[in-house]
Formats: sequence, C-alpha cells, structure tokens
Amino acid sequence: MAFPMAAPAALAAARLARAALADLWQALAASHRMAAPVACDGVFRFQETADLAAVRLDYNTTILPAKKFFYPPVETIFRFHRHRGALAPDEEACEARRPLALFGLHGCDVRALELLDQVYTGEFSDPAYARARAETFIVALSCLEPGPSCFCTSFRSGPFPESGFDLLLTDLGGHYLVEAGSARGAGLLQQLGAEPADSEDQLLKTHRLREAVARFRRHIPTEGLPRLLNQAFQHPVWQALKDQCLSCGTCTVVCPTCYCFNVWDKVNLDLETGERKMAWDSCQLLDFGQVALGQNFRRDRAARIKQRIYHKLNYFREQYGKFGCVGCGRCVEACVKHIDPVTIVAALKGV
Amino acid sequence: MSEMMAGGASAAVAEPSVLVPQVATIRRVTEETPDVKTFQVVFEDPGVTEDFAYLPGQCCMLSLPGSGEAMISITSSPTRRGFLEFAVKKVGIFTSALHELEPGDQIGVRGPYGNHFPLPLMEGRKLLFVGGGIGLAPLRSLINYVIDEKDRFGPVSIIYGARSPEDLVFKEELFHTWAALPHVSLHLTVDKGDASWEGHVGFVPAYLEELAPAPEGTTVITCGPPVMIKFVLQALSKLGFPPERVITTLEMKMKCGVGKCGRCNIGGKYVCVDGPVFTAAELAQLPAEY
Amino acid sequence: MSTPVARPRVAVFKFSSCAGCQLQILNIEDQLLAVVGAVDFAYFVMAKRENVPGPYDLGFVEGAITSTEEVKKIKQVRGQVRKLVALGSCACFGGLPSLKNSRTQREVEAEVYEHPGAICSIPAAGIDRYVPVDGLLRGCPIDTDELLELVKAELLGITPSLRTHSVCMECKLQENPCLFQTRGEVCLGPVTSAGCGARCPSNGRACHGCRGPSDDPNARSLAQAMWEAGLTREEIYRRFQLYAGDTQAFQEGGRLP
Repeated sequence: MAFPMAAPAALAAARLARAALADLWQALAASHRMAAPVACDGVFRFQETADLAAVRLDYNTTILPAKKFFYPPVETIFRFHRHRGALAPDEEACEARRPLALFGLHGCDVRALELLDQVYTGEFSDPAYARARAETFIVALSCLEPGPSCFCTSFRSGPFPESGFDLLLTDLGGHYLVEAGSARGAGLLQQLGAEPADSEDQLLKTHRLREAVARFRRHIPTEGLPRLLNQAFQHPVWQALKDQCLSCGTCTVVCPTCYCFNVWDKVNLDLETGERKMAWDSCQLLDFGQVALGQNFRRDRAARIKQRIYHKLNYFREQYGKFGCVGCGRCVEACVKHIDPVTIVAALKGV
Repeated sequence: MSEMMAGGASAAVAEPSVLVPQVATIRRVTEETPDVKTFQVVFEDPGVTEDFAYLPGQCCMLSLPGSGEAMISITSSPTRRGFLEFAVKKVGIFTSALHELEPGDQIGVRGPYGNHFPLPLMEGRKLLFVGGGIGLAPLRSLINYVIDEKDRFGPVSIIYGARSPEDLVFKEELFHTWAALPHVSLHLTVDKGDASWEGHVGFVPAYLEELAPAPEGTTVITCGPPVMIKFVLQALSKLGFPPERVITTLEMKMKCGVGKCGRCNIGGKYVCVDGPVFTAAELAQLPAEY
Repeated sequence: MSTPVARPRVAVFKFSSCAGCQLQILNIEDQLLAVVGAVDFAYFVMAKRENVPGPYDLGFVEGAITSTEEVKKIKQVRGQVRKLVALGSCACFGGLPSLKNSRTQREVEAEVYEHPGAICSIPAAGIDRYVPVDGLLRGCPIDTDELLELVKAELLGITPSLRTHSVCMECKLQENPCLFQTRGEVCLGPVTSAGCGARCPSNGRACHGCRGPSDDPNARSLAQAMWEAGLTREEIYRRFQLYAGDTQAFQEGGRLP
C-alpha cells in the first residue's frame, strides 16, 4: 500500500487561526521540502519553495499536476555498458533527500494521485513511485468555488476531498478547519497543540460544501456512461472533433491521470555507456499506434481523440473500477480549441 | 541480479524497478531460416532458471542495452526445464542486433509476461493448430507441452505454412520429431514451392478450408501474421467452429510489458497483461480498432 | 538500417542558405573533438582548407534549392553520398528563402537585383523536392543535440530517434504561460515539430514554426482559433509563411476561408 492508511473518519480535527497557518507550515518545513502553488507570469505552478508568503492558496489550477513529483517527466531506469558479450546494468542511487510536503492540493489532484496509485503500485509496483508516495505529506485544500473549467463534482473527487490526504484545510471564514486523514496528520495536529474543532465547525464545513457544490455549472452525467460510450464508437461527434483538434498532445501533458510512457535507450557519444530512459508519452501522437513494419492502428486523428476520452471515461474504469478523470479541467484550459469532455459527453447524449 | 552503483549516496534504491532485466547467457543459436533464429538461454543465476515458472503462451522482454527491448514469445515448453528458448525474426533495429549474437553472449530477460493458453479449454479435446510463418513460435511451446502431457489431451493436428520451404521454422520438429509421433498429424503448405518441394502449395487459410476439419470436440489454436489470422478466423467460422473454442494471439508494440506505458492498450485491455492470448469470442468484444 | 561504419566519411554542402546550420556543427564545442575523432570530415569547406572528393558515407546539405543550377548540383551530391541528411529548415522545407514563393520570380528578382537579367531563380524548395533524403535535421538553426543524436545513430548503425511531437508539449512541460492564450500572440507551437525544448516560448517569444510541421498538424484549425481571437489574416498568414510556408501543412494555416 503506497499511501499510509487513511483514518475512516478524521482522527482529529482542529481549528487553526489564519495567522497560525504559518505554524503549520513551519512545523512541516522543519523536516520536509515544501512544494506549493506559486504564481509566475500569471500562471500557477507547484514549486518547491521555502516561503509561505509566495504561496497562492487562492490558485485556480496549476499547469502541470502534482504527479510530476512522483512520476517525473523523464527518468533513468538503469545505466549500462554495452560492449559486446556483457550486460552490466547498474542503478542510479537516490540521493538521500528530505521527504516532500505538498501544501494546498485540491481534491481533484488528491484523487488523481489515488488513481495513479492503482497503476503504479499493485502487481507491477514501481518502487520509486511507491516510496515517494509513502513519504510525501499531503496538505489538501477544499475548494470553495469551481474554476472556469472544473467539473470534479461529476466524479466526487472534489470540491472537498474525502481521502488521500494527511491534513485537509477548509477555510471557514474566520479560521481554518484542519482535519487529519492519517495517523501522521493527527500527530502533527497534536504536535501543534491546535485547539480541537467542535460540532459547529463541522456544520460550517458541511454548509460550505453545499454552497460550493451548488456553484458548479458543468457536469458529466456518469450514470450509464460506459454503456453510452460503448455504443457511441461511430458517433459523428468524433469526426467533428477531428477538424477541431490540433493533435498537439497538450491535453495529455497536463492531465493528472495520464500515465502512458515511452522507453528508449540513450547511448552516449563514447558509444559504450548509456541509459535506458522512460518519459511521458501521449496516445495523441501519430507514432503511438505504430507497430513494426510501418502499420499504425490509430493513424486517424478521430481514433486518437476517441482513445483519450474512452480511456478516461470507460477503459480505465473497466480495468481499475473507477473513472480515470477527476474533472480538474486542465485539458480544457490548456487546449487552444477548448475541446471539452463535458461538451463531448453532452453531444453523445444528444443534448 | 543487477548491481548497485558503487560508492556515493547512502540511501540506495531498495529494490529495482520492474523494468530492469535479469542477465542471461545465450547457450545455443539455431538458424531456422534466413531471417529467423532460435536462441536458447539460461540465466546467469542458476537459481533463477530453476525457479522460472511459465506456461505456453507467455512472453519475455528481451533486452540489449543500447539497442532496445522487444516482447518475444517463449517458444520452449515448461515441461522441458533448465533453459528458455526464443525464436526471433529479424525485422528491426533490436532484432537485427540480436541476430548478431553468438553463444556466450549475454542479453537481458524479464518476465514471464502476459497470460497463457487456456488449458481447460483444451483438455480432453482434439487440438487443431493453425500456424503461419513465425507464428509457429508460441504454438511450439504449446505443442511440445501437449505432447509431453499426452494423457491430458486428445489427438493433435497441425496445419502450418510459410512463404517458401526455406521459410518454414523448426524444420527438425516439422520433419522429424513431430512427424514421427502417431497421434500427431501434420499438414504443411508453402505459398510458393521450389524444385525440391513435394508438399502442398497454397495459403494456410485456403488449405484449412480444403482440409475441412470437423469442429466437434475440437479446440483450435492459431498464430501467424495478422492478415492470415483474419482469414483463418473467417474460415473457421465458416466451418462451424464456435468462437469460444478458437484461441489466438494479438501482437502489439510493447514498451514496458507490464500494462503501464499504454502502447498496447485496446479498450479496457492491455495486451501485455490481459493477452496476448485471446479467444475469438473475446476479440470480438474489443473496440473495432484492431 | 545499416551496419555501423567505423569512422564514416562525412561531407557538408551548402546551397541557398545563411551558413548558420553548418556553423552549428562547429558550435557543438565540448563534444566537437569527440565527434571529430569519431567521424572523418572529408569535405567541409567552411572548416577545412583541404577537402577531398567523394564518395562519402554521410552527406549534410544546408540550404534550399532555388535555381536550376542547384537542382543539377543536388542531384550530383545525391550520387556521391550513401546517406543524405537535410541540415536545417532551408534544406528540409525551403526555409526563409521560400518566403518568396508567394510571388512571381520576376517580381522578386526585380526587387532585389539591379540587373535581374543575369538571375534565373525558381521557387525555393527543400532538397527532398529533387532527391530522396534519408534524414531531416529541422530548425533554424538546427539543434546541436539532434545533430549529435544523428551522428551517434550513424556510428551505431541504427535509425536516429527524432520524434516530431509538438513544441506545445515541450512548452507545457516547462510550465510556461501560453503566449497565445495570455498575450494573444500568433504562436505556431501546437503544429510545429519539437526538439528545440520550446526555446523561444520559454524566453517569452511565440513559436515561429522554424522546425516545420509536427506529426499530424491541424494548421487550419489553429489559424481559425487565432482569427476568432482577433488576430488579422495578414498576421496569421505571414507567420505560417515564414519558415515552412512551402509545406502543405503550413499552407493550410495560411489559407483562411
């Protein structure tokens, strides 16, 4: 199990004055590298920072999702010497680094990590990923209102996450409600000596949640969605999208649940040493469906667009039991043409 | 097992990624045809060879650092222990590099991956193998298995063809070992004969229709080039073989072999994990991409 | 695919170009000595005084073909090299010289030359218009890492790994703000081939498409999006024309209904 077992209900819940957020930060920073959303040129990114003042908890969404901390865009699998007759893989040792604390993750990103856990731990576990997940402290943040492209309520990944965090911050106006979702989260609250929350705080939270949910205008109806998709393979909407889509692949780069990757050998100029590497890849690229001898079974752009939507809303669920989309809206924001799973499903339903 | 990098940092990786292969040595190379070679390998660590458990249909990722990796079916049968065999056709960068190797050279091997041929669908039944070209490689594992476990299975028929007599693989088994067995009937064909060829000439699907085997009590296992499989499945359907009793394999580009990288994803399936073996009935369920 | 060649003989030729791509070969600096040791630059007029005639194993051609003279010469070059690589966007797609293709040759010649009678130019094209090409090094100028990748591949006897996904992907990986979305600039990133690390957008300048079309570009749709965002037809057309306007893909971008 990659992520420390979450408590069934909050182990502990506390109130934290707005000014005291810095105490929480400092307590974590004492033993963790801190990463949080920061602003740069009008966009937000998760970045390592020592400075709470630079953190923008009012952020909408980041360009790249938090998965970059656990599943880096490029990695070395092993190094080798390739002289004839000998294979000597050796592994890159990890430098001993302080564990990471992710501060301010929205529900969508928290759920996305839980979905990636199903892929990267389990039968063919990736030990580096599993270790990073186990070590990383997550302070999640409830969203009080949707961003322009958000639809997390469709998958119940937000606006207030229910699991997958060590601590959850909900802004109740005058103060924060801080709930522990794990033993070590509860431990930190204890260490801070924070004032326990009371039933009024919980009521306020429920009220805020209801208000936030009511603000969502964008939905994907998930009831019967896989069946709808199975019947819609030849729907005209795919041809219409083919004319719109630029095939730039950006949607898959910013998606928090995309995990396709490429593996290749990089030999150094000495022609002797080298590395086997893996890097983020995309089913949207023309050569992704290429097999030996030149055949390509997704040469058509419409087929590739379908593959992404179907994988998120159908195939992933078939394999892992949950929808592969968290409704974060990054693909819609990043896409120059604003191609949108919400409007696609609406079109398939004939709405 | 792979070596850790010497010296330096304290917190080394406790266990290697599943993508790191084990080291194996080539013990024997057999030239089957001008572009197919069979490699017999043993792991550097004899304990690994001993413990390597697999069933016919499964594959391994063979690796030559600097040239890449490819998923190759295991062509040996697990009933014959102490080694693994892989028949490799030279089609690209990696397979060409592999073809340069000789006994004593080392390669990386990781696996076994994928599912295996569903033996319960075959036990107690007549078995019909229909193969084309290099497609005989995964079938050979199964054929030798059912031969070694004779009592569990019914009589065996093999229909196999290649482009030319030269391109027939596993000639030793085709013309001697299997041919000598009373409960095995062999029907060979080539697309184009040569001066010395006295056997049947014609494509495998057409030969299958000509032989018109009866479907009753028979399970069919077929492997070969995609276009051959397509026509074979059509022919089998015409002859009345139910799709649940027709077994085949899918070939896809595979980069990780463990159901992650997405290259072999079709519908809800990853061919490297949920396949490569599928029944014709299961194939019909997959989205019409392939 | 071929077998590796120990110390291949390399030649570098120049057609209509600025010579910047050849200069990039010399700009690989720390790696230059290793490369010079690994290959034999038999013909490289910019860098050597003594150059020997062919045949050669690997030929790099820089520059577009823009006269009948050059058509003859490129065919000769093709005959002398086992493998031919187009070096830079001029040789790959026509590059900046292809800017003139939207007008008649006479018009353009009269504008530039005092006595155009002596000039006889034809529309500028990449070398693959006239000869088969074995590899493309895109960019204006080429990217030195890709050059090294190609040299290594030649030494190893394998196909070089030069993928053609979009600059947009590289830009997002660096978490740059989108220059089209935030500043309304004509950025060809979504339809341009990556390999440059999205250098220009990462430095605040929209992609000018110098590396030519990506693997399945939809330039028309991109142009439409820009026009809907208020950019003029002129601005959009000129950007698509600039480096690879001769390619079918980018021509679609320049042709708004």
